[in-house]
This record gives sequence, C-alpha cells and structure tokens, in this order.
Amino acid sequence: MLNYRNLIVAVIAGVLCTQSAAQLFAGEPQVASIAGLSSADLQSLKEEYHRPNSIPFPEENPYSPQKVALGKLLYYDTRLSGSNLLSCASCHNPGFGWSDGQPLAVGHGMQILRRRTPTILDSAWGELFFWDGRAETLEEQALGPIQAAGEMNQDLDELVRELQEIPGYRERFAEAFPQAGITTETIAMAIATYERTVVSSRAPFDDWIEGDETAMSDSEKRGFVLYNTKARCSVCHSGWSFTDSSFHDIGLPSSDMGRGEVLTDVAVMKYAFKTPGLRDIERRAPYMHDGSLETLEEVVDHYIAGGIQRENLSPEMQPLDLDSQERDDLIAFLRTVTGPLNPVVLPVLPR
Amino acid sequence: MKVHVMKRTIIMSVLACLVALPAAAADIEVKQDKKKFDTKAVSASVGDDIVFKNNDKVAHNVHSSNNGHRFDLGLQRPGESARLNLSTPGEFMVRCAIHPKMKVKVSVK
Repeated sequence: MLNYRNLIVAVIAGVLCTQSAAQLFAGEPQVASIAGLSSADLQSLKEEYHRPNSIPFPEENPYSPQKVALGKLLYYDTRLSGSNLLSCASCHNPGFGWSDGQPLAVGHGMQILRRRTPTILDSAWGELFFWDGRAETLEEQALGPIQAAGEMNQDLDELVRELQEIPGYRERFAEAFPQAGITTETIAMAIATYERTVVSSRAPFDDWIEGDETAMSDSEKRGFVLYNTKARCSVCHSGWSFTDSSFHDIGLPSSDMGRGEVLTDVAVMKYAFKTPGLRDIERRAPYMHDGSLETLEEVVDHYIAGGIQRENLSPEMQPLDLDSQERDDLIAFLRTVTGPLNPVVLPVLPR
Repeated sequence: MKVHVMKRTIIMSVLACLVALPAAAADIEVKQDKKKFDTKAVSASVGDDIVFKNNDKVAHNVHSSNNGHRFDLGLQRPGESARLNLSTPGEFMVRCAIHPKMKVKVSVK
C-alpha cells in the first residue's frame, strides 16, 4: 500500500535530482532573469565582461622580466625629477588606486596643476594617453611628466647623464637593453613595461561573471543590468576594464578644452576627456578629470542630471530616469568592481 | 561596302574614346558598427570617394590628423553617412575622434 508521505518525499527527491542533473550537465551556470533582462540576454551580456588571461605588450617593446624590474626601479626613484623629490609614484601611488587622492595633481614646487592625476591601472589595454590623449603610446606618455616643467621638471639629457653615473643603473640597463644602454628611449620603454604589469586585482564582480552567484547581492546584480541598459553607463564604460578609451564632453562646468586642445579642428572634441576605466573605483576618489566630485553618489547624480547643456555635449549624455532604488542598485554595483589592494613591495634603489 | 567601313570607323572611334577616358571615380563604402570600422585598410585611386556609414548605436566622428591629409567629417549620429573625396595621393590613418581604437589605413594612388 502506497503511503502518501513517502510519495511526496519521493516526488520532491525526484525534482531535486532532476535539477541537480540539469545543473551538472548544463556546462554553464544557470542564470536567473534580473531586472527585466532574460536569463539568455543576461548571460550574453556577462560574456562581454570576462577578464583577459594575459597582458598585451607591443611588438616595438616586448615584455622582459629585466625591463619590468628596471622600470619598477625608475618608477619609484625620485631622482627622475629635477628636484630629486618626486617620482612617478608620488602622484601615481598604488595606495590611492595608482593616483594621488587629491582633486588636482600637485607638481614641481608644490604647484597645483589643472587636472586630476589619472590612474595607471590597466593602461596596457589603453589607447592614447593623458586625459586629452596627446600621447600615442605609453612610452611617449612616460616621458611627458618627467620633462614637464610643472610636473617633474627634469631635463632628459641630464637625466641620462645622472643615471649613467650610478653603477647599479648601468648594470640594470645593460641587462634589459644590451645594445642601447641608457637613453631616453630605454628609460621610457622600461617604465612603460613596468606600468603594463600594473593590472587591477580580481573583484567580487569577476567571481560573479565567472559563475559564483553568491559573489554579488541581488541589488548589485540589478545595478549591473541598469549599468548596461537604462543608466547607459556601458555606452562608454564598456568591457572588463569598464572603458572603451573614448573621448566625450560630459558636461562638467569646466573651461578646460581637454581633447579640443589637441584636435583643434574637430569640433566635438571641445571639453572632451578620456573615459577612465572604473576598476578599483572605490579607492580612486575624488572623481572626474577635474576632481570635482567627491563620491560615487555625486558622480551618479551628475549623470542622472545629464550635465551642462551646450553645443559640444556628447550625444551619449542624456538625462537618466532612475528612481531611488535604481540609483542605489547602480551605486551598489559600482562598488563590486573594486578588488582587494595588492601590496606593492618598494624596490631598493641603486646607488 | 562603304557603309560597312563607316560602321567600323565609328566603332573604332568610340572604343578609342573609351580608352582615352580616365577610369570612373568609385564610391567605397566603409561601415561603422559596434565601435569598429568593417575594414582595417582601404586602397583607392585619386578621385574616389569613401562613404563612411554609421550603422552603430552611438555617434562617431571620422577624421585624420596626418600631415597633408587632415580632415574632419564632423559628428555622425546613428544612421548618418559622410563622404570623403580622395584628392591627394598618399597613405594616412583615419580614426574616429570619439573612439580612437577605431582605425582604418587609407592608401590613395
């Protein structure tokens, strides 16, 4: 005689077994629909955010461990500045998300510069460097601040002579560049190679992208969908590093012409600045090219308002219709792309 | 017989004219979609036009900063096209000013 209780238990067990089997053989983790996005669309969206497996290095300056080691020495060495008081790391400080925590950069003689220090995180994947994109390569960028009068104020020929007088550097350059030795070009190549190894750490978001459904809360997941749909963030801040390296006037009240100073004949570049990546964003306040916004809440509110309406305002800037819950979800998501701070061991500098 | 000779003369004359005429200028279409050009390189002749078509969901702005080939086609919203006449021989890099990862090398002979 069939016992009803046993029957119910058997049915429940059967359902559970079926679900487990489905999960076992599905290959990919099952994704529930979120914030109106179907599970298939969500899965497809997530595919766009996988971290790369390797760092790209250019053919003109391929990777070598000797170059990375030398570049690291140079990056942290204050003798690269005219005053011998500033290094690359003085402004691009790993503890502040490879920036400086200041609204505007501080340069030679403590002068306050006109733009915020950009992070160097994930610059191996970048295209055009500086806020206004005036450097084509990371090598070109590396020499910019060293010789800029307002920044490190160092004559490059003098720097080469100074480094040649330091035996430790003579040895390190001979190892990294056996043919060329110490030149402005090899200084740039070494620093750029080190900078390419500065990659954002793995964040809770990455675990979720790779299938760990517990890595993010429901609010954070809804925020991810909003980021890619109604909030339009991904129109520019797209892909795993959250930037497409594009230039836009986002309607900040600034008289700085940005990219318009470089591409003087391209009207849409007036007041345009490079789209920064968002990795480790929580460690990188204050925000924007002018450091004018202190919190992520202020940043999101700027985009909700849509920026100053002017002729050059990017057509992608459109006021957003987000309710209070959606705003909270979006900010919650933005916090998931910050990973743990990887400690950096300072090098012993050659004498 | 006379008519036959005339016909041949006319045909020969027309053919000679066709040979003497320069090749007709061509329109070369380059599409923009998903923040990419649909080709990495274009080979063209002087007089040809490149028609840049924006099939994307975002605006683009095709331009070149290379010496001797500087131009700016201005802002192109989704669905719009812009035409570039190739009047000078040479090689130059065309980029989207907004999305500089979008590049196409143009060779004009």
